[in-house]
Amino acid sequence: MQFSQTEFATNLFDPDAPAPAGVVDPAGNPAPKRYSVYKNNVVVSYLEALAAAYPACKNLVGEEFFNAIGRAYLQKKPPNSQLMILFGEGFASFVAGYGPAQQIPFLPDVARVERAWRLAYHSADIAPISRDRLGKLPPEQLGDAKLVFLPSVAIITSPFPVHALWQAAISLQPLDAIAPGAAESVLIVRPTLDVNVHNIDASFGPSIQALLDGNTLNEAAETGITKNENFDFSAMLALLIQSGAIADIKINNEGNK
Amino acid sequence: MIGKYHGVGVGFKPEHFKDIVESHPNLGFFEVHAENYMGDGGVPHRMLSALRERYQLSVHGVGLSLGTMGELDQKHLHRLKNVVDRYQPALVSEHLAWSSHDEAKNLLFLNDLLPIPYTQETLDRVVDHVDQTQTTLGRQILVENPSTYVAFSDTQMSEIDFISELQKRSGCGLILDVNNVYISANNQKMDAFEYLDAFPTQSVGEIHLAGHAEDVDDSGDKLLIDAHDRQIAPDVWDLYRHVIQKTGEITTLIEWDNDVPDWPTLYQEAADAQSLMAEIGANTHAAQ
Amino acid sequence: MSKSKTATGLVVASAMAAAISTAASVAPAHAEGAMEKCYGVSVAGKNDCAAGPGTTCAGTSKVDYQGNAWTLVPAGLCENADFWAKVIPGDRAGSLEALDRDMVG
Repeated sequence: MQFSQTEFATNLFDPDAPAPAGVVDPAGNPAPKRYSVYKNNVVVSYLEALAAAYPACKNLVGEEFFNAIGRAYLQKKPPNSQLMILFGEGFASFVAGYGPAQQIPFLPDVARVERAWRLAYHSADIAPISRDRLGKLPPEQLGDAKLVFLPSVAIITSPFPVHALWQAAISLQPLDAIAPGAAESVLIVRPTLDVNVHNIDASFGPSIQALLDGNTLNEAAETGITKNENFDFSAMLALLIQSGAIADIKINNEGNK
Repeated sequence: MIGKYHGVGVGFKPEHFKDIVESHPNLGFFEVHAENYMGDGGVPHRMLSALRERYQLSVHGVGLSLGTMGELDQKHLHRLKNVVDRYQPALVSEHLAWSSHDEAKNLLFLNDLLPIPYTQETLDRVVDHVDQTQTTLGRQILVENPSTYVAFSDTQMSEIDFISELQKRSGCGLILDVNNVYISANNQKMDAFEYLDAFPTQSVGEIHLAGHAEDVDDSGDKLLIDAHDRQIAPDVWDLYRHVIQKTGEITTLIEWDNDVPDWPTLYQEAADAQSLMAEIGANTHAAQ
Repeated sequence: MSKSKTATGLVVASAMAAAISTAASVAPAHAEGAMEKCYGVSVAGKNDCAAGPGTTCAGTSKVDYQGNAWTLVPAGLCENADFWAKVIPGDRAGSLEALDRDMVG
């Protein structure tokens, strides 16, 4: 038995690797070119899936540069899931550490927005909290309450105008009009079917992150004020309610935790 | 053929959803790739539910890796079961191929349908994996003949013998992909008509038709690639006609996965298959 | 930081009350039967059973982890030189050159 799936699989990701032992043409002759059809299928399908997952990134740097990053990413993080709809995990971190991509310092943050968008698109269908339920919450217990977010919710805080860059890039608009110094934060929510990408007040970021991390409303209020004395907690809560980010508010009336 | 006749269907692409909902085309079913509906929620499931309300479905897995020499990925098998349980498709199918490799519990997914040598050892493996799949899903699956670009010096039996044995031992049904037959016949220097005449068509539950691309191999000979990126070739229509003349009407799928055309172009391919079936298949069926 | 827990709790309660009245509307629960909502927001799944387009060349292109991409200049929307001068602060542009030399050298 010459055939080894380990060898066949490993060689697919190595452009220089020969056809595995026992892989031949119908006449029994070595068939490296025939074998490389499989190399092509695997690499091309992954580059296409990566471009589908990160279209703004691809538009920013162009196809050739994007594919060069993609090939390096494939080498570094061999694909480990059958679900191509969720392909591209860890791409933003990879880009952040990838030398040639340092020329585009905001690229990792745009990738983070696109990853959150993709996860939101496929996330479970959970309805936002109802106005009725909101109105019936006991005010005196809200300080110790925690928010339950929709599974689609994510926040990306960036020193770059990440919302403007992402929006321009997905719609292939020129970047010239974007003020480079403006830091932007993005809140991603899918309340129904559409994924919404909100450009939010940057001072909301730390407080929303605190809530996402499971802290109480009290703790999140303190986090927000500590980071920025102009932080408007009420406006932040209004944004979370109106965007549909909150699934429920857990009142801690049992006194545990 | 085995099972019920479900007419002619096409592979569902989200960009055609609006056309489908608004024109309600006269098709027997829609086919989807199971893995594209293994997310938790959102638009994909909303679309598929809407399709399911109006049409039968054929759920075609592309990632189970029945041909792996390692263990079948139980986690993925259960994802497939969730899709099947939720949508109750008329047909469930997978490929005679492998696509993932499990090295010391580190799954490597290759996102392609890779070939296997036809040996007693690989046959035992695939029979076991089909058996596990049918047991978990609680229903028969169809297994598709592959398109291949290489041969193996290990191979001990013909593809037809391998598939026939697989069918007998596992009790699975078969997909006869006529485009794959045409591609493999060229690439493996076989005769496509002889292949079709030897194929166990009594176990076929679904026929696949698609377009292919052309390349060259190491010796400069023509090598056909299963690209699903264009119309079905005239030669493939001839093979299809040959099969339908022999078997009568069989559930038929039009696949078009790359360079997906507008809806009318895709629908025309299905209409052509329907016409051919009406012209030949129904008559042959009536005569049987 | 110096606020007592009770005081913060009161802040939270009043902030929530204000937020509820400020939020003009709560995002609707999942609309039923609105198939039009599926139009135009769909993303193609990438699990296919077809071979990749093109021929053998893409699969056999050299993959050099860092090296080959250094020779490439981003194209796409990022190719506008004026834009680069604005986005990359002076010290950053300088350090990029150094990084480039290190990697190539």
